[in-house]
Amino acid sequence: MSATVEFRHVTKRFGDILALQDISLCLENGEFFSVIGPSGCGKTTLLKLIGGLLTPDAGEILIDGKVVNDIPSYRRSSNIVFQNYALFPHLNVFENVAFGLRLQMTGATASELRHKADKALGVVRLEDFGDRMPGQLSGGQQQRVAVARALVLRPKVIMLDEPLAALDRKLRKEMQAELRRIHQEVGITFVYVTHDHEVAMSMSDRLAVMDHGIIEQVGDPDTIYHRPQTRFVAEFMGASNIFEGEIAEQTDGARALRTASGLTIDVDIDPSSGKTMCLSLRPELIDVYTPDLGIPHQNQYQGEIVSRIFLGNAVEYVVRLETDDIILSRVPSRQLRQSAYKPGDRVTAGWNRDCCNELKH
Amino acid sequence: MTSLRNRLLLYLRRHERVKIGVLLAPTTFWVVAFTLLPILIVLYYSFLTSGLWGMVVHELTLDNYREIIDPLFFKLFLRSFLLAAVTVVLCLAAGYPLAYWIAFYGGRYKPFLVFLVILPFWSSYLVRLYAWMTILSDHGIINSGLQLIGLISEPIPLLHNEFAVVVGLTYTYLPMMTLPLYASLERLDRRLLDAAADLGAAPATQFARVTLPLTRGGIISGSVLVFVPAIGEFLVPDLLGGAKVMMIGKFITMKFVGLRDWPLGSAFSLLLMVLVLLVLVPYLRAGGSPKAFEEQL
Repeated sequence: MSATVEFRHVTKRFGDILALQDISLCLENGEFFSVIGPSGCGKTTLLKLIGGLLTPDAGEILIDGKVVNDIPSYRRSSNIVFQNYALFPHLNVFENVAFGLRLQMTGATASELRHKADKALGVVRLEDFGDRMPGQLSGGQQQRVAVARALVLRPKVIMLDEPLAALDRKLRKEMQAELRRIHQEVGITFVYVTHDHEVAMSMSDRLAVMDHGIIEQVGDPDTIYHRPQTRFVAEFMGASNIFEGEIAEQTDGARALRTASGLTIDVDIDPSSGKTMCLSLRPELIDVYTPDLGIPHQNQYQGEIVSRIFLGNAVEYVVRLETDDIILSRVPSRQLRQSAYKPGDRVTAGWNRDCCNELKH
Repeated sequence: MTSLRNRLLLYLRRHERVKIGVLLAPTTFWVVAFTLLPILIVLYYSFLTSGLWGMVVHELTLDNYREIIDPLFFKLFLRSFLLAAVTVVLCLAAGYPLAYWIAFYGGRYKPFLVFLVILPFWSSYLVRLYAWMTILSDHGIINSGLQLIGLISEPIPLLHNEFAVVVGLTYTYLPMMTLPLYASLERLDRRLLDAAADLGAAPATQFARVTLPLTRGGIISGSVLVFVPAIGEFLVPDLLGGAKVMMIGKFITMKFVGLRDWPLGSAFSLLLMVLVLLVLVPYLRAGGSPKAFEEQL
């Protein structure tokens, strides 16, 4: 595997605003890579830098091993599927797809063009739509034309900027599967920019979480989800419980985290940074039960249910512990008794010590 | 108890046709009173007989229409058509870059720059044309300037010829071209240019393949707005063209004012209207079709 796109200490400013700060990143050939983060985190800037619509203020960007800083957008082997699709409204679907081809293959015969464009339309399953105008297509169809328009040029990398944002839920699910299929079919590196961590997790080989122009963490979805390195990543990947405190050696040699509120949590971790430490704990790893169920956990705390939200396949509890710590727990609905508690019920919240994840900062 | 107002509103809500009628009434009144009626009056006059001392005799005749089959009139029409067409081309050549620059690089000064474009309308049209007479005259700034730097020894004739007329027309109608062009350029989705660049289009190609076709509506409406008044213009040829340049508008004015032959003048006016419409039909078709409209959006 070799790198398709590489960022070396790339910085980008807009006036006084630091949009990207010393970004170094490597995208492997043919991978499906997502960049996620809240709006304004710099993810679209990252994408525009690859596409050449922006130039970096510092650092180098490489595509296929060559520095492309000074290569204008129209000479780069990268294509963007724009957020609003940006289809040319005065050209029909075929001409939209052929737009780049005509410029790339000067001297190509009409039948060559038609063959290539039709093939790309075939990949996105719009073979019979060549004569339609973009205005006559649904959102999902327009989206697929935009994908075909990028695919047909066989770029080294295709970037998708929040491509599903404008679609309704059902269509979004369909297009998600469709994009995965297309990616596997063509084997081009995909860079997918979104603020939706669930979509990103379900589609990507790897993902990068960004905030304030900095990449917080890069990794495969499992790692990012279960082993977030920073508080921001832990919170961005769905609500998480975070504990901050000092590490104390127990008499039996085990370690525990003691928070300011007086909570003592047994942990399994060798703290990497001195005595203070930050832990994250995913809600689904916390069990909520009453003593009569006799569930053994290394960490158990008494508390009271503050609120209950029914999610269908799970129930989300907010529990106030006796130390006044607030804990978020998610219990699967198939645990019939445990998912039936009501606000005000006295319960025990418990988890094993290997559930905790250490945050670097 | 329902008030009269409520009863009226209820009535309108139940009677869709009456409601549409009420809503369309102001526009209908305007079009009828200020467009249709005047044209009908002109049409009526064109069938009347002219009497002595500019009087109009209310006696129907076809004589005026016999008279306007006049080779001179068609020659003048052709002349005016050419001058108006040159004006359109020059306005486009000057207005497009101007509108483009304001729309793309105007930033927060855009409203101010657009205001500057229409600023000349605030002063008297006549005064502005007299200013041009001064500028273009033998002792005007251009001739004396060129003489000063020694490029010419004798003043070159800039005034009272077709050159002066085209300058005057282009100057007068430039805002009419610039504003619709500005509107269409302003509306142009910049992301489409990003998309074109991304797909391999160099700046010149982006302009030819995206910007130009997508601002076609502005080009067409600007051209019509310049062409129609330019072809019928009478002040510019009168003041800047002098005695040597005759245009159709000046010709018709002469019939009305000079000869005080209102019926004949009316007949010529109607003929001009018909001819201009015939010229514009294909042009308006291209710009006014639903498809072109959709493209603009």
